[in-house]
Amino acid sequence: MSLRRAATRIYAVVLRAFPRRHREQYAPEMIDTFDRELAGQRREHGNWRALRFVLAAGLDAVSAGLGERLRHWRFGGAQATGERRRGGMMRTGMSWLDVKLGLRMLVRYKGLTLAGGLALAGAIGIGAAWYDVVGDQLHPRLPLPEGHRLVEVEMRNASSSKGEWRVLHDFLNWRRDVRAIEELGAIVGMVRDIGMTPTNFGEAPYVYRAVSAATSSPLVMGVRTAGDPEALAARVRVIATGIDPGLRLDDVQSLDALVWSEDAPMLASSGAFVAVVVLGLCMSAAGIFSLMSVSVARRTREIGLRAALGASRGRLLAGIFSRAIVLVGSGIAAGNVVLNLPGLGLADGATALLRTSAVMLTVGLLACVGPARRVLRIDPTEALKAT
Amino acid sequence: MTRKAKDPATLIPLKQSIYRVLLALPDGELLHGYAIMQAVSAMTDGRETILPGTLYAALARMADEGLVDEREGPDDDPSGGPKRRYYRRTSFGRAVARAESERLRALLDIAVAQKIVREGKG
Repeated sequence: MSLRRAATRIYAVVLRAFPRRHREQYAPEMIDTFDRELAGQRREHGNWRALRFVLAAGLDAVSAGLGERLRHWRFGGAQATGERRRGGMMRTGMSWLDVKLGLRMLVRYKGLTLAGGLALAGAIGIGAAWYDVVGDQLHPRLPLPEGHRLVEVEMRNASSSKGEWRVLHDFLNWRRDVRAIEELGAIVGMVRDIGMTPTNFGEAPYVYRAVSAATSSPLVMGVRTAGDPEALAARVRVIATGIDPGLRLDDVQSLDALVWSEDAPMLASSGAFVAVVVLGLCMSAAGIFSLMSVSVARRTREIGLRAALGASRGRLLAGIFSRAIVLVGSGIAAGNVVLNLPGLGLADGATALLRTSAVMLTVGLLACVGPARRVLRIDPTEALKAT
Repeated sequence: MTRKAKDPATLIPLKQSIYRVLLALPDGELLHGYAIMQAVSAMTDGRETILPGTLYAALARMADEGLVDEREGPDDDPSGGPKRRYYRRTSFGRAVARAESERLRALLDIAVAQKIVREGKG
């Protein structure tokens, strides 16, 4: 086989980048045009220019073919372009009829709708709670004017000297009791943090304030050692007692151990949260996928009839995705309503809900890709024959 | 069947490939794809070329937009090879080419005013 014939055959394969309808119409001419031009380039300019032409024409075919595929996918090819230009509801590819049919579908498949809606609501709740937890841990903010000036707010039990979790109730109390940051106490100074906890990542400065004699406040001291820090622990205690007999050092440990003890619960809870969120998303996606698959299977004949009457691919897809949007939208709305019920207080912040809803919408639409592809594969002739 | 847009301005600015094909098609003359490809190269002394993929994608769109009339060629085409389609620029295609040329001339006038190029020179 000559090189010219080989190149032409390869070009014929590359033309698969074009949609089938385009290939059926133009491929023989395109191959012939390519072949003639290749022969001309080789005759007039030699093999090197011919090779350059082959490469350029191949890339050009891939690029133009993908462009045509995109055009066919968006507008359903030439016919739908005309439909689109004629305007009206065809302009968006969706109509109120789609929304109405979507609502009817929700009523018709009650079990699946309930399962899908509950899964979506649950996933939104988990997602919103996740954002709240992460937001509180990474960006704690005191709800006061200039609250951002405080980089670390920690609750301590005065009797046990143990740290306590901040809860929404504490912030509400602070908002009620404290009118300005200064009321928290005179700030003695700020130093660079030694990075004990994962909440400040070792870079944020620490704020120290004066401790009155009546206050039992824990103090944290960092000691840099040249050798093994474990060996120095006992000696540090002795040194401290030598300075002040009342100075008692508790919980002496290496920085690595301290950081790990702080990190481990956070990592475990984060992992558990992520697992639950992913599970919720998968459940929602599976529910939507099932509902849309059942819907497509039952409407095969109707879809085939529509295709036979000239409905474009975009129009058929709009019918599927609009119903999915109705389903996902209903689930998101239900989830948001439940989370904002008075007294429940699960979702703190519109941004978290907005983000979670956006994620759910994306997942819901992705779950429809499979059923949508099935719609595009429906052969009108076969569908109309089926009883 | 082709559908013709009413106003040429709706298609402006044109894709370069479509503009080149419109310029390469003489009034009233029917050309097949390969001839258009050669005409594009000839009218610019080889400085501008159009490759088959881009050419046929452009022709499909142009036929759809009503910029060209597409006709089946005879079974025993004198040019040899497979059965070809022939294309002729429509009056609407000519109007769109004029609108695009005027748009480009307005830009060229700005370039001349800013002394980026001299009038009538490259």
